[in-house]
Amino acid sequence: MSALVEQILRQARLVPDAPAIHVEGKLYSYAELVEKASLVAATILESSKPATPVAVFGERKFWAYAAILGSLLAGRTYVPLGVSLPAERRDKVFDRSGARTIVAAGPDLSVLSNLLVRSSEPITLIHPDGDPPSLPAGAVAHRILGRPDLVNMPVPLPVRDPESPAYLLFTSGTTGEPKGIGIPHNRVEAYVRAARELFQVGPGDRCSQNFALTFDLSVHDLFVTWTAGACLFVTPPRSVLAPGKYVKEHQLTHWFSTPTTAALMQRVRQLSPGAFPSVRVSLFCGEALPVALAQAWSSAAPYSEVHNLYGPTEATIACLAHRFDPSQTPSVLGDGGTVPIGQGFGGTHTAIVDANLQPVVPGESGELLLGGDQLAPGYWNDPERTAVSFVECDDLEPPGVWYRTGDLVSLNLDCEPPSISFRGRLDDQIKVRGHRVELAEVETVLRSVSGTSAAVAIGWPKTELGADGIVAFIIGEGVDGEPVLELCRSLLPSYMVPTALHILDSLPQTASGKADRRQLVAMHEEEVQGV
Amino acid sequence: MCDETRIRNAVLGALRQPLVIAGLDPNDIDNDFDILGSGIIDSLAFVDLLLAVEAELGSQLELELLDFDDVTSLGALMRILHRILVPA
Repeated sequence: MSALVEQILRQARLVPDAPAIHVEGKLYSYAELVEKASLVAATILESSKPATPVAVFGERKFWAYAAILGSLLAGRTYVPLGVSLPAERRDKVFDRSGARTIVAAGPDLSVLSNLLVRSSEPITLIHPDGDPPSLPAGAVAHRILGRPDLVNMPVPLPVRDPESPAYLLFTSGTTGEPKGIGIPHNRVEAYVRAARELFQVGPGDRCSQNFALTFDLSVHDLFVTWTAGACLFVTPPRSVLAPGKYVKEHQLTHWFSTPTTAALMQRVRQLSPGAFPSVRVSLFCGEALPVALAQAWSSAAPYSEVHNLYGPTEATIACLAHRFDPSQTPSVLGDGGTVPIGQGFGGTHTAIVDANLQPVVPGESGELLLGGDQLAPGYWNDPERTAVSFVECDDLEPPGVWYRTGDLVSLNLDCEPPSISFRGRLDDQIKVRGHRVELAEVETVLRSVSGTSAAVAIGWPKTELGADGIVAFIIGEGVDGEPVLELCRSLLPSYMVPTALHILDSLPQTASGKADRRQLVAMHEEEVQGV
Repeated sequence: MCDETRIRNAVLGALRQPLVIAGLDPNDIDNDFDILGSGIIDSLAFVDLLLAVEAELGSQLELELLDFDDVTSLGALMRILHRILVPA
């Protein structure tokens, strides 16, 4: 049992009629949310005996939220299964998670058929908002349950186990295999406590829910809101691309999105001065925040604080924050045109180190290391990757395990107090429209589907926020590009599929013998401009 | 040319490339086609499409009035664009 769940149950007892979530055009109270989550929890406990993780399928549906809370009530770890992911990648996530139960919301569950057909283990599929779906039978007998099968029984409070994972997420990994990260309850609690205080969330507040459930920033939305007794406002599926109208209609007080969403809102002219007078706190995370965009937001939400957050999934949601002050001088606002990422908050420690993991002189660039009570214990069932990224550093304060972010940063000494600024990546991880992408993963997939020996993927066109897409280059004789891209589409999320594929006889090389990325980009740009 | 035809041509013109990439024939697309739900373009590309349509029509769209949740189909998008088009 976790303190998170206890706090939400307490809200349901103290203020049962207070609104907990607005979704699919309907408002649900804390009592209703907990009642439905309890049905899911009792059904999970009754139908799936070993305490394996529970996969949650569905986006922007009431039952997906009830399923997340229900999984935790049942003492299980939840794993969001991306709705828009290609089937093969979703199946891989399911397999690696070890889940044997799926709670699925939404009318169309046909995309799950493949998963059931090929599974050699019996799976329990719970479809709480309708009849048991008729799906093709597989080699083994699965249990398919619908609304009439939900178990209405009091759920025993699970044992408190702070080290058991509350959720399990998968991010892009260099080898072509998604990397699992399980975050224990005590890490989530540490984050939620710190965030609730720093961003002043309380009863009566109205908080946005823009992030997909596969993105760990959604954990902030759900649990900061619900443990504070506030109400979660789930942006409808199509509006999520530019939710300005929804913000106004529902008078949201707390906003949280990627800078990409804010940039899209700006392009469709939703950020007019004074557009969002109800918003008091605005948070941005997931990629670099351009100063000009932060200024435009501040003017659209004139009564709002604006905070730029930073944090890899490995350190639980977010762990650094910088409060943006539009009245500051340009060097403080953000050198290089992007807002600093600030300082560690809550129980997070930061260090900026050189290649030997020794601290650099303040002001110089180095790799950002994170320590403290939000660090994941490592990668899911992957001791090798864990050993590479989670390192013992006895020379740092405090000595102990630190996570190597791979992010190049420096301390901006013009800020008072000094604030950390993001400078780039040490490897070839990039952000494509706000999504974390290992280019090496795209290259691995390109090599395997095309059968060629060399593939290069590059973020293009570059934007202030990262890149808008990916262009790729492979060596191949007689290789046809379209089938290669078609296979990429079946294996990779859409933002990782190259928008253009060049098939070359050889790759231009730099003096050191590496693929000359600059020349490849020039080649692509020449071709685009030539069209 | 009346507004309706101009809007239709502008939208289909902007959609042509993503449709072809997705292996669809632009001539086969009818008004029920769900542009956003089909996955042929993502949010960034959809915003590009709106701005391209605006440039093509040579008059402004009152985008601040657009509720993206109403964009359920090609037909719905064209009705909305017609409504938010500021006469030149």
